[in-house]
Amino acid sequence: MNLKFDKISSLVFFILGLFIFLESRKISQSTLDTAIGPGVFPAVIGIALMVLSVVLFIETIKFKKIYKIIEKETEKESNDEESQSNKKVFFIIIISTFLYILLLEKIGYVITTFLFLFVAFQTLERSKWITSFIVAALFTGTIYVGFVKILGGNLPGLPF
Amino acid sequence: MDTINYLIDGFTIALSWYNILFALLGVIIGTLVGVLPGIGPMSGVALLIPVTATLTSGMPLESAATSSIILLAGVYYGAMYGGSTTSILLNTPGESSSVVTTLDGYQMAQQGRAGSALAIAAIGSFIAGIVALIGLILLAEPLSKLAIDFSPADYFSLMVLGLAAVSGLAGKSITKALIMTCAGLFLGTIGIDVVTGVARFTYNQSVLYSGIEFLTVAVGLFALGEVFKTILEKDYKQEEISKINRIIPTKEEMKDSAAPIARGSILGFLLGVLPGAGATLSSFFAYSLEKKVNKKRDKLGKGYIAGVAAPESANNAASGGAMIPLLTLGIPGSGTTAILMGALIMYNVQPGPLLFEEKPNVVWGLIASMFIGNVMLLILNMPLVKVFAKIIDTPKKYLLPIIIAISIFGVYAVQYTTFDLILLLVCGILGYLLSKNDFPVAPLVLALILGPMMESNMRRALTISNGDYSIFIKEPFSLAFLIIALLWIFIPLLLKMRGKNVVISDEG
Repeated sequence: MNLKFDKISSLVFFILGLFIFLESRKISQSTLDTAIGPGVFPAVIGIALMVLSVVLFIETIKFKKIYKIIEKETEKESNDEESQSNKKVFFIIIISTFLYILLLEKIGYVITTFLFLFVAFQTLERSKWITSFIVAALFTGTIYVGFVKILGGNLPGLPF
Repeated sequence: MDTINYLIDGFTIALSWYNILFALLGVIIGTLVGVLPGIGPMSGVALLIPVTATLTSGMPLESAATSSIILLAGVYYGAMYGGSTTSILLNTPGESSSVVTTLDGYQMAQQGRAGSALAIAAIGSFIAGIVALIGLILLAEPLSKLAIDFSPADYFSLMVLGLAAVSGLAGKSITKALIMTCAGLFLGTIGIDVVTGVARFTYNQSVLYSGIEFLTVAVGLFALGEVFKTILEKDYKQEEISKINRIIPTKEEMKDSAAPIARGSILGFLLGVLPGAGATLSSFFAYSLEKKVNKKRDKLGKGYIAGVAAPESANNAASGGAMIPLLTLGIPGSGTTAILMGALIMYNVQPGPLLFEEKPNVVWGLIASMFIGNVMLLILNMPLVKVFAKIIDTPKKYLLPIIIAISIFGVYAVQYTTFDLILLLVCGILGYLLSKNDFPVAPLVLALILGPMMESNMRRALTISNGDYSIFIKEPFSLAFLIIALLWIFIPLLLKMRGKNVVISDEG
């Protein structure tokens, strides 16, 4: 539980609700004059989201005292060394996943998958690189050969 | 005696060589999913949808749907068998539905009785699975006959009830669960409106015209979300595993677990049929029931076999029971069944009362294969339990990146767009952040799947009534569903206000 997250998210969901509501009004106006146009359902969702966000915000303020105690505890947790190194690992994984996704269509499945796995294995635990190398190569090979060659699926293979 | 004929037809379908293979594959993967702590039944099923889509790509649509659902359902109930393994051997539940199994299961392992705990868990799961199937067969026909007369207004309200039930029990805060439901409903409206052909919330982005794909969202929120959580929160170092000595339980243990298995199976099945309750809750309830009625209840918590038998039977029976609202009404009662429903819709098979008339092969093939699957699981789990226990040793270092790679491969192989991959990653990060802050993600996925159907039923109802909204409270079924939906939300709320502890379902 996190007071800040709940506050921010109630704001975000309120804005989302407002946005959905306003945008859905536009949809209704642009279509034929029927009782239940395509904008009605989204408009209801928008209103519901706004109401719920307000409720969440009130709840957050109401439980402030309880939250404060919990917050102190979580602060302690997040400051210790292990969770710092976990965070570093997490960001490396996120960034390599992002690069993997962006490059998948450009340089093909085989190279990107292999590199992603190798980097991720070594990031999670630095150990013998040869095992990581073999596991990454085996996985990539199995998926590619199995899917493209045996099952006749379609994947961007290699850049050349 | 139509049912028996249908069942026989079902067995002929389920016993074809490839469907046996699909069922076997499903239950093996399910057991693995259950054993591996980083991955639950929801992400397991979601991850396998693209794989099964590829495997069945050459088959005609209806048999492809049958084979896929056989495999995916196998993963679902297989995970219930596997979940107990880590609870007993490691004191870490593989699934949230096996949390209570740790209480007595791990104690038994410490006393050197891990083997009999595992065996009883498997036997209990098997009996419970069969009980749930018999219930499914008996209830399916009458329920779908009843539901076939539902009007659009009834359907709309029934779906409201389904969403309310899942939201009411999904997390610590009902407000947050309802927010997630609304977010899911909104995501479901993105794309071309099927009735009028108007593009909604697309902003000239061609990737948005076909709508947000549920598969991408589900895999991202569940599979990637769980991976990120494991990286950030748990340390992925290995733990020590208890040894397994003898697998065959003693006569006394068999005697002690007979009644708890029976009670757990029936309770679990009944709770499974209710939307929202699911496997996790039923295992909790089964354990507390034992605490109340078992003659040797003082031994519970100290390594008593009933503490393993009851919850493990209950969660398996619940997973079978959960198939009933899915197949007969088209309302999934939990996150995992929502994903199963999404898979069926991908194959153009619409779960609901018409399913039994229009696609009897799919339903009865599935039901028959669940019999076969349960037998396979019993056979697999008794002698192979030591092998499965070894799988816990799989280093997470390899497991986590491979789950990411399978997610990306799976989504890309079905969608072929970089947009979906980016959506996948975003959903993964959001899934971690949201569930960490008690925003349950299962209601979102459920709403995303039910949303479009809810909307079309709402509009059909309002067209019939000429825009008069009172149609939803004028029709008796519809009114009843709406009242139950309201009660489902407000009763837990009232209990919470009174300071009572409300059990919640982590599985969703």
